[in-house]
Parts: sequence; structure tokens; C-alpha cells
Amino acid sequence: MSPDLPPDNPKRSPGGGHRLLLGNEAMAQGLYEAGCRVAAAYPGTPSTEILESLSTYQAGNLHLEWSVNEKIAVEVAAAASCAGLRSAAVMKQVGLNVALDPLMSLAYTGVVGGMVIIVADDPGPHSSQTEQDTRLLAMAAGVPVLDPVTPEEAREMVHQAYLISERYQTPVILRPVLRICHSRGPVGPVSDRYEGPGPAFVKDTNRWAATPRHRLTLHGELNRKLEKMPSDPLVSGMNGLWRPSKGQGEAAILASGTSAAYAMDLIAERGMDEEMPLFVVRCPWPLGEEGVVETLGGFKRILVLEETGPFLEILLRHRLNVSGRTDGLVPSEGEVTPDVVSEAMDAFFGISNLRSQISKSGEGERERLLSDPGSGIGNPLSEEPGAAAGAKPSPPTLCAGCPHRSSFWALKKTMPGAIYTGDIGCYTLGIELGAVDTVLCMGASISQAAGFYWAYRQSEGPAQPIAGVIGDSTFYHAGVPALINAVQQGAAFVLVIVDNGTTAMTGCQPTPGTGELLSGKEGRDVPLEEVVRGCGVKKLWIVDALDFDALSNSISTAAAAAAEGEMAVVISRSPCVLNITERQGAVPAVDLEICTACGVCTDRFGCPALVMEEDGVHIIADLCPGCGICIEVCPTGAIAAPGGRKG
Amino acid sequence: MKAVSSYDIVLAGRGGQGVIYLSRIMGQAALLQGLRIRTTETHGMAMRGGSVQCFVRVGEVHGPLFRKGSAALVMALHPGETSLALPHLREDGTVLISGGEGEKTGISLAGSQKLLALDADAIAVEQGNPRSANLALLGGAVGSVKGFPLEAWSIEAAIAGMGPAGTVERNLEIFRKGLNSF
Repeated sequence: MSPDLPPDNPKRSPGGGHRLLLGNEAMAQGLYEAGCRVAAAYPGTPSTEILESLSTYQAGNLHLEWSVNEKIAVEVAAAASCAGLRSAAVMKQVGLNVALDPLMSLAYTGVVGGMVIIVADDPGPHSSQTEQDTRLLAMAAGVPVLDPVTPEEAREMVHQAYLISERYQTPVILRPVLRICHSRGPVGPVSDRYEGPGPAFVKDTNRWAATPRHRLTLHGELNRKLEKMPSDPLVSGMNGLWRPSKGQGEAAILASGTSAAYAMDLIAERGMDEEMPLFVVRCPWPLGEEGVVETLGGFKRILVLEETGPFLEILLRHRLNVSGRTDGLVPSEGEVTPDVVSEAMDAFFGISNLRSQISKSGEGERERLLSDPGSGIGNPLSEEPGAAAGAKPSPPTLCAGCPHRSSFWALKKTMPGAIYTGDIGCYTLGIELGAVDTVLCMGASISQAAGFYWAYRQSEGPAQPIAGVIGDSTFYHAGVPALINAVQQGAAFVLVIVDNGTTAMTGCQPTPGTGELLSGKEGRDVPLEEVVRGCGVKKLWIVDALDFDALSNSISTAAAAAAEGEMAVVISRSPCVLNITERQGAVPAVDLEICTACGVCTDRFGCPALVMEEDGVHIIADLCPGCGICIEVCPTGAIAAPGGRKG
Repeated sequence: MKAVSSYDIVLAGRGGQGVIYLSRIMGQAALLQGLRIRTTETHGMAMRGGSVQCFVRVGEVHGPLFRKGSAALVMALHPGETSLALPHLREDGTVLISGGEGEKTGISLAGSQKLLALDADAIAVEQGNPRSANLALLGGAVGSVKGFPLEAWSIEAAIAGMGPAGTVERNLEIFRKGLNSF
């Protein structure tokens, strides 16, 4: 495998064994080809499909796992690399927060076999708590980071990352953004899998078990690596001009990631290769500043386009006259879309500059730009999408028959007025039922409930009921230490673990509770109730989430126990509707004579199978799996099971 | 007009309607025709019945998204999603909605934009596979939209190649019904 990225060639013809792949699938192909032997991940949008896709390759010498969380994924993969194998850890950007502890230390000890950490950023954010920029964390840790422009390039960068990793004995972060992970493009055929050396761990306590004294030495070694890397052609060769340019003039663009892709498209569309020189940075850290300054130093002003923070902009600020986020040309939050890039380029190059450049050519497009710069370059409908029509995106909602909806309804009914601490997963959507008041990060439902408990214990007023809701996968990920802490400290609240036996939000990956493995083989199950008891919980109810009366009774009894000072846990269990093969029950019937069209079932309960029409509520039979909870919800008794209660 | 280097399409629908599947069929068809294609899509939270927009670009491009006002075609699998997608449409672009003629009311167009409706759901239900309304709409695009870059033969090959087995014949029939609707 050539260490150099193939030159950017948009005419590289598809066909000839090309497959249309998601960026995530392209990176999986790269991991397979590069001979990755151990890959560990925790699912999270937009990174999930990388490991799922890798699991479809037939490789005998490849251990794949859904780890319990990202910290564990990094540690598992890192050990394999210390033993000399090529490894990978994969996560979304907020997952790196969880894995930051091993990463910081790993940067010091380094690795032997190549290690690639793929961290998917989510500018927007489309499916995350934050828009954080992983490049900043890579810099903080002292780990190189690569920023692909297209999905095809992301595959090639996996190879590049392994070469850098092995040459410098350091983990390397590959940072695709959502528009790399979740865009599709033609990717060339799978090349032969690299066969690296087998495991051979060489003991060296000064490195692998370094005490603070040796850590100082390791820190020095890390700094020397970071000094050397930028001038190594393996690294610096990734950065450079998109198309040849004069090398001096009024203004140029420096861009990375998909922002660079959009800049390429806009420059090509306008036919302004010469007027708008574009320097593409594929390795933003450690950045060979000298190389950048050599190429761009002849330009008076540089527009920096990147996601998500002003990373390159700040790095180069003292060397070049940069524009972008620091002077407001690029918004400081949100996705950098072609509209954002286009507007920034217009403002930066300015119409007077355009005029002087354009006089060389008389194409109609350029004339039009000059006569009416706002109409074509920007957007004829400059409002946000749909704003003119007053249209709003249809919000996501829990599925029809989702057992979580039953749990939230029971919780609201039995513990009205409670503070409801929520967590990360499909069940964050409990917001729409008014049963989620807080969402902070993975596992925080439990520790926040404990925090509220200690806060309200100091008040003289009536006791404040508190209920946390967490999913099974999130509980294994980060809930366990929080529950141990709450129990040990003597906090008392209700914790509902909504156990649907899967990681539903990201596409139904198995949890430790099922014993199922990513490989499809049977592993050992780690039953939820045993873990809860093991955390020291004495009051535990396990109940069918679709048995509404039993569920309500359990929560009610648990609330009474919590009021008596007990930590009370209810496991509300029923499989995710995406995983069931048989109906939950019969489709209920609505008696339109009784229905008052009050809207409780459609608006407050919010099941998508229920629709309000002029004569009352109707049930869309095709959508309804028959959970029957709406029968309990209807205040007038208009909804009933056919042939009697609960069908 | 801009120097067109790509034919840009917005697919608009709701989670569960097969918007992403449709983009994959289109992608495969483009590959078979030797065309370059790039698509992007939303996963995660939006999949729970929320609005889903998929962007498809046929041509020599690098980025998966395009500027507003530059799509040649909006295909709305759910008529209620049309107005959200309209800002992406070119001044002379076409909107193809899944729905009866009645669904056209309330969709206001600008300039020389064109609106077409095809009752894709009815076709799919009639052929016994209601989930494949997306393919009827794709047939409608091939049959009615001038300049649409994908051809019937490549789409049929993509449908046949991507399965799932057992549904191929019915899905091809649904696609052809859509194709011959205009």
C-alpha cells in the first residue's frame, strides 16, 4: 500500500468493481484491508455502521466486540496494539469523552502495532449532545488526527493512519464528520488483507507501567515525535494545494474535511481555480505550519473553512492573516454546509475582487454573478428550509407499541409531580410525554437523581419525589458506578430501568444482558437484575412493561419504599418493537359514540398509530402492534380490546 | 444558469418510508450506468418517524450536500414533507409528490417550477407491497421528469440485484406502473 494518498481525481471512473458504500462501510473496508486484528466499539450515531460492516468480512484473525463503553473499547484495542497487532477503537465524538482517560495516558506509552481510533464528529448536531471538535482533544492528548474530505478518502486514510501509527508508535485518530460517515460514494474493490506479525508483547515496565518519574521521560519522547511528524512526507504529503496555483496574490482558501469538498465544488462550478487557490489540510494535527506558510505566505489574506471549531484558524493565526470564525465570516455553531461556504467565500473574496478576476473571461455565469451577486451565489429562498411555508420538520417519536411509552405513562400516573431525570437513548423521547426533565450524558439519570435527592433533603418542605429513567444498554455503559454510588451514599429514589433487551437508538445492537455477540456467536449473558442486586439494591421489582396494572403497582410500591429512605429499582421489561416477530396483541377498537375527541391519547400519549379525525380517534391498524396501552390511557373508556379488555 | 456539473435531487419523506433504500437503488443504478454519484442521509433520532431528507448528486462532485435553490428535482414520498424540501429546488426544477391530485393544493411554487403528483401508495397497495411506494415514485420520475439521469434498465437491474428475494418481481411491476403513469 502506497503511503501517499492518491492524487485527488474526480474523474476516477466508477464501475470496474466499485461498490456504492457508506463512508462508514468504506472505513470498515480500510480496516479489513489494513489487517486490523482487534476492533472494539460502543455504538453511537454517526459511527455505528463501521463495526457492523467490518463484521461482514470473513476474517479468521479478527476479534470484534461491542464493548460496554468507549473507555473499555480503547483499552482493549490498545492492549492488542501493545502486543504488536493492528487494532482499532471506534466511537462517536462524545464517546471520546468517556475514553479520554486511557487516550491521554496511551499517548505517552504509545503502541507497537498500529492503532487507529475512529471518532465520528457530528456538526449540526444531528444526533448528539454536543458539536465538540475531536481535533482539539487529539491536540490535548498529543495524538495525530486525520480529517478526510470524502468517504473514499476515509478508506485510504485508514491505511495512512496505520503507517503513521507504526512509524511513530502512537495511536492515530481518524476524525470523519457525519457527512463522511453517512454519505455514499463509489469505492474501489477490496484489496488483499495485510498480514502483520502475530502477538509478541515485550515487557518493559518503564513504558507499560511507568511511574511518574518515567512518565516525564515518556512525555519528552511524545514531544519529540510530535516535533518530527510534521516534516515527515508521510504526514506533510497529505496537505497541499488542490490544484496548481501561482502561489501569491490577494487571497486564498485553506480548508479541511467536508468544508474542503464543498469549496472544491463551488470553485469548480464557478470555474475559478486560479482566482480561488485552495489548500487542503488532511492532517490538522500535528500541523506542518512551515509547509503551509511556505505555500500560502505569498497571499495577503487566507479564508479558513473547517468543522467544527476554529482549530486551523487559531493554529495559523500568528503566521497568516486568517479569516473565518474569528472574524465572523463563518458561523461559530452548526454544520458548515455549501450555503455557509458559499456565503463565506463571497464575503471573503468580495465582489470587487471578483470583478477584477472575472474581466479575463466573459462567461455568462460570471456576468450574472457580477450583476446580481446575491441571487445565484446565495439562495433565492434565503429563509431556513420551510420557513416561508411555515413548515416544521416532523419530530421523531417513540414507535407505535414501544414499551417505553407504557413505562413513561405509568410513571407519570403513579408519580405525578416527581422530578424525572432522563438519559441517552430512544427513551430520551419521553420528553414528549412530559416524563423527562433532564438529559445530560450517558448514565447521568442515576447520579442526577441522587444529586436532586441530596439537594431536596436539605429543605424543610414536603419530600420531593424523584424518578430516574435509564435504558438497559446505557445502564451497562455508565449507570453501574452511578448506582453503586447512590446506594452506598444512602440516596433514596425510584429508578426505572427500561429494558428492551437491545441498543435500539443505534439500530438494535446486542447488550451484555442478551449474551449475543457482534460476531453472531453466543457469549455469556450478564443479567440486569443480578447487576442491580450486585450494586447493593435491596428493593427490586421486575415487571412486564406492557402489563400496565402490574407496572403501575410496582412503581407505586417503589415510590413508597423510596419515601421510606430506600433505593428502589423497577426493571420494566419488554422487547423493542423493532425486534418482535409476533404481535403484542389485537388492535383495539374505538367506540366513536363514546370518544369525545379529548386528544389525551393522540397528543399526550402520542402513539403514532392513533390519529384524530373529525368524528374522533381512529387506530391505523397497519401501524398498531397491539400493545393495548391506549385502552388504559383513554379517560372515557372509548378504546377497548376487541372481544373484551386486553384482547 | 450555473454551469451544471451535477444533477441534484432531494428525497423527502418520514422515517420508515424507505427514503434511504430509494437512494441506494438510485446509487446502484448510477454505478451501472457508469455515472458518479454521491448521497447523504440522516440516521439515529430522525429514524423514529421524523422527517428524513436524503440528498442525491449525480455527477462530478466532491461534497454530499448542495446549496439551496440548486436541486433539479424534489421527490416527496410524503406530501407533508414537500414544503420543507422546496427551498432546495432550482427556479426551473420539478417537484414530484406521492399523492393524488388533491395533495397538490397548498404547495406553492416559484418561477417556472413544475409540480407533478403520482399516487404511488395506490400503485404499491394494488400490487400487494405497500412498502414499495418509493419504487413507484422512482418510476414516475424516470417516466415524467425531463433530464432525469437514471434510466429504467439500470434501475430495474438495481432492484433485481438488491432484493430482498421474493419481492423482486412485485417491486419491478410497481416500478413499471409508476414509469407508465405519465
